[in-house]
Amino acid sequence: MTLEQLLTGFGNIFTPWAMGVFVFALLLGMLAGAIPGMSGLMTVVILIPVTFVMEKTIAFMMLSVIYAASVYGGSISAILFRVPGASPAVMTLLDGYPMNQQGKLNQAISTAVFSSAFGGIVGALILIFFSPVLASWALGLSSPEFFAVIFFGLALVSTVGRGDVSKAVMALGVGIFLGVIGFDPLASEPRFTFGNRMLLSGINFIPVLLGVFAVAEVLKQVRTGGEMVSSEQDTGPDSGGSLLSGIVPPLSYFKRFKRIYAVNSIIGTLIGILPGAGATAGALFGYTFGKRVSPKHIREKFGTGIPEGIASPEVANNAACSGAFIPLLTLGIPGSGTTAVLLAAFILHGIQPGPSMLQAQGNIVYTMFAGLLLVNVGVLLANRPIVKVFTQVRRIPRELLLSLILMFIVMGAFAARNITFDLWIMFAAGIVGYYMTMYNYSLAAFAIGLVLGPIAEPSFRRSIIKAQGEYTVFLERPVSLVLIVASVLVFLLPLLEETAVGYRVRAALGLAETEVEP
Amino acid sequence: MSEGPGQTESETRDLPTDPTDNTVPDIGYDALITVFTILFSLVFIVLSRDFAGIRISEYDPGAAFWPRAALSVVILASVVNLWKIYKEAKVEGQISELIAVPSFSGEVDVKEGDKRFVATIITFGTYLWIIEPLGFLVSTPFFLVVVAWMLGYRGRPVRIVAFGILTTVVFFAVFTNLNIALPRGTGPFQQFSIFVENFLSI
Repeated sequence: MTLEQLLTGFGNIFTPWAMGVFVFALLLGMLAGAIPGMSGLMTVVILIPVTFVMEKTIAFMMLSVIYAASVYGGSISAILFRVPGASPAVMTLLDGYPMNQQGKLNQAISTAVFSSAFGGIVGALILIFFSPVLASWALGLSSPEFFAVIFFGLALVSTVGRGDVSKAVMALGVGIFLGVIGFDPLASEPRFTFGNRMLLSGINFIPVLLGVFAVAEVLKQVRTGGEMVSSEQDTGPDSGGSLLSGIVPPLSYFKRFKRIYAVNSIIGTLIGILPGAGATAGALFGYTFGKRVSPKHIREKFGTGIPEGIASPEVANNAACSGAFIPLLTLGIPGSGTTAVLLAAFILHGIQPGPSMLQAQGNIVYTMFAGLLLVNVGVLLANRPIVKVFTQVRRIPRELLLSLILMFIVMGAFAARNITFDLWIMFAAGIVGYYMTMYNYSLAAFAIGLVLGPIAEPSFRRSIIKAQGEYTVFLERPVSLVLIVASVLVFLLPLLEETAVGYRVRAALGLAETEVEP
Repeated sequence: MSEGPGQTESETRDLPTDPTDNTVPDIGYDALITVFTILFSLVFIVLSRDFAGIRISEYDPGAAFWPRAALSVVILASVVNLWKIYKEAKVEGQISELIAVPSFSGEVDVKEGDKRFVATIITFGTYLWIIEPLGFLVSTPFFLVVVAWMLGYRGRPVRIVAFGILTTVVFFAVFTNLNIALPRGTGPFQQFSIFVENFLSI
């Protein structure tokens, strides 16, 4: 039944008109993701009025394709300029940009493309075949479990900040703290706003991330006289010649990332299902999980420019993008900002997403599913031309490029909320980020705190309220208990590994030999 | 220095990842940043008293609980960091450097990169300051030209001016047609922006 409906969905797309819409949505989504200031969410909002003159099946396929393509598109500017074009690309820049600077731009972009496509396809398949099961699982989760999941993400800080965990925890805490500024999420009372009405709705994380990552990097290049895009570039990982060179990477590529792909595609989808999490949280979890599951000699190189550092968040954020559709379509609960807009679009079209949607609106839903599968194939097909186009950036003189990047950052920071106050936030974050980088304060940990902190607080407080003030509520429910214990272990493990006891244990387990640099 | 969460402490302290990087961190400033972070956290813990009593139910931990928890974690981590800095300084015999007040007297060797760095911050800040009254359309060409020139671009003046104006207009047109707002400015500048927006709208 599912396969039949899926084939019908493909059939709906394989018509000249629908195919044209698909290609348009794919390119627009990628562009929206790549240019700071535009985003998948914004593009979906802009195109909602257009959907009223379209057939519903094609209209919703178009909106879903834009969302999925924008998640990938964000990685391009992250790799090229350390500017996350879209927030889900925030972790991709940690290794993508150093790879670009090392002259591995082709390899970096190709890794992002293949990993995005892999994550997206696995996420879409899970969405297609396991939606009802996962939706009922998600429905069974309440605030304690939800908080425990986010707490687990926060506990991974010791993995992210390996080598200087105290500084990483400081950065994480400051990130969480910045997230509390503005209205209290439950009582709606202002906190740390000092009478400034601009602060009432809080500090938007997009200008902050643009500041700490992108502005800080421009300032570094200005000071050191370095180049943002290395003039010496490789030919990419597929230069060895595969069966479908440029479209499918060599098998060794999948072998290299097998652990990351296996873990992060599942983790990403599950994170996407959680309400409010979305692709950005997926990327944060993906990067830290990718680091955790990688062998030690690779783990230690995360952040210095290795393909694993790109593959980890890209698999997870694209899988999360598909995962976010599960609660939307089966429960009518949006899993991310963009799916919230899609929910509004459904309602505007007189469609109420919910448990009966898969049956009642099967044609629309399965055409969306087919679109979500095809968009990943489209991204793979577009890989070669994308790499070709974007590597031309190195022809732009350094001075002009730096000024252009600053302009893009301003556009991106302003477009988030249309207030110039955000520009000053971005400016301050840029200067602080520059010094944080110089003194080795983990920006990744800071980003994790900033993004996950505001999601964690309401679920933490709701849990305590429901448990009538019992702080042990997190240890009384099996799922949250497992997650809390796992969080403690995940936090302590990297610290213990560095101790003499840790070395002895690893040696006794025979792990020490496998961690020698190849 | 680029961020290197995967690097070991000694690697990141001693070796800037960029060989041209002339901004090697100073252990004394590192300690200063940590102390500042502790003070910053303490101040905000005290300030959180303003809303400490706000709860939506008797079981609610309250509006101040989460920020206090986050700031306490920051303080704890900062103290550990301070101890690590002290230990490192002791091993390397830099205790005097750690407690010395940085001196700004005497001749200061300001490098070309430092001058460009400060000039870029000032120009960028000025751009953000004028973008609200003048709008994106008027202020951006000046910004692009000034930054490019300041960073050493010495092409033909016509070329750099054309770059500033054309880039601004193209992106203004794209964003206008996508209904994505950019700062319009105030007064006559706002009217000018709206006029150009109408002109460029497809």
